[in-house]
Amino acid sequence: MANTQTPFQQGAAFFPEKLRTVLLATEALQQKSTEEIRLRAGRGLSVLSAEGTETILTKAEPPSQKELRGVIEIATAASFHTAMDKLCRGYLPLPGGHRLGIAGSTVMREGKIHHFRELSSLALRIAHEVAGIAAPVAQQLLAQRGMGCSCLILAPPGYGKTTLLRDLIRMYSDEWQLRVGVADERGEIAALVNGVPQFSVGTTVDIIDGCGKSEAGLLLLRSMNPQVIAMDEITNPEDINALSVIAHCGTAVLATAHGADTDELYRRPLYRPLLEQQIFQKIIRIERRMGKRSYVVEDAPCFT
Amino acid sequence: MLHLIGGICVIVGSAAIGLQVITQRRKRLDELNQFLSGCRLMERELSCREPDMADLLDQLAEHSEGMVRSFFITCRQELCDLGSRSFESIWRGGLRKSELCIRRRERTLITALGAILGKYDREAQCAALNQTASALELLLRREQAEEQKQAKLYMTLSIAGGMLLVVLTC
Repeated sequence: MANTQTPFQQGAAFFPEKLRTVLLATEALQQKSTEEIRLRAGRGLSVLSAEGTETILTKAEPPSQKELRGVIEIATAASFHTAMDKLCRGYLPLPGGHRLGIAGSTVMREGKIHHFRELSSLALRIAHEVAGIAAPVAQQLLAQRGMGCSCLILAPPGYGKTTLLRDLIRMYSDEWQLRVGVADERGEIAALVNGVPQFSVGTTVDIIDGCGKSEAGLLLLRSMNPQVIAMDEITNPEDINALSVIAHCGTAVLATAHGADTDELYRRPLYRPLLEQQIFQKIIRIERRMGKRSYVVEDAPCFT
Repeated sequence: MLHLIGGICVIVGSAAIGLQVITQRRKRLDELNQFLSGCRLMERELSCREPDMADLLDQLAEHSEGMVRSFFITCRQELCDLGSRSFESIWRGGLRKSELCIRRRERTLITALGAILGKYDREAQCAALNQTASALELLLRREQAEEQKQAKLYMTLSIAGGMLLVVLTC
């Protein structure tokens, strides 16, 4: 895919010719603000803007099941078998960092989604990488002599934790010359395609995706000799145990968690050990006022 | 003297026709054999390594020769047309473009694979490949047995036909 294409054009390229033509005929302003392209069988093709408004593009000729399968065929380069597992677990990372998610009638085997018998809709999320977003955080870390230290990014959902984590990984790698291991369970941080990260995460970064964060983190620790290990969204006790092992082996950790502040985090039994074991030296809070994001770097409190 | 030379030419010519029929049959059997090996290779690769279609087609091209190789290369090159054509149509088009000697029945078997490859999960693709390979194997075995019997027959018939022509014209 040529680099000269806009993210929207790259996303549209995953659609069959007929639908692609409709997508590319939309206004440039609409293309720029599009965050998702959605296709629903028997209903229509639509684009979802950053503001959350959905515009239906094809009402007259609703797309068929065949067209939905066509998108999967293009997105997987006629290799559905290589993508099925990822699709069943959430979404498929695509070249350019875009993501494809599907919905429809599932077939269960051994208590897990085995495949989709019929597709009802799909959503292609267009990647908008924000390089340099971590610069203010890096400045604060430098000022507080926290360069290369263990940091926890704390914010409610939708505040841009993953985007900040990704850019912070890039800074740790490219600017501070540290070897970073990334436990990228669902491919959200690096979006590996054919072993190549689709987002700029830095040159000294080693990534394991497709398995649990705790397993990936410990495997990275053993196999890649990292100076920093990063993982997104700590959600279960296994993740916390792995973080504890990693941190106490002298490796710094970068992680994210849902929460407004450390007090809220401490009140939740799952996260309390994180603070009690003093795994992190710095807490990075993302605040949003009047639609603008700001970053607050503070020392991790000592709860014992 | 002229009669003798003419007679020899007619006999050699008819023998050459017989030889060409035999060569054509052998070429067809060779192509069938290559497709059979291709199916087995795909089945093996899909069940162990799960490579993507581009990788699979590259390997198939590497392990085949002649027109079969050119068929896999065509499919591989046209994979970038996905979006304007389906893989099934690329596969079917590749078969049409390549000057293969295989017959209609074998062509139908191989064409049908295009509707399954890359579209279903690993198990379904392996099952389809196994089924096609078994059908090709059966055809190949039958054809090989037939070929051994008929090769001599074709040669004898063509030479005898040539001789008869010489006798009749003299």
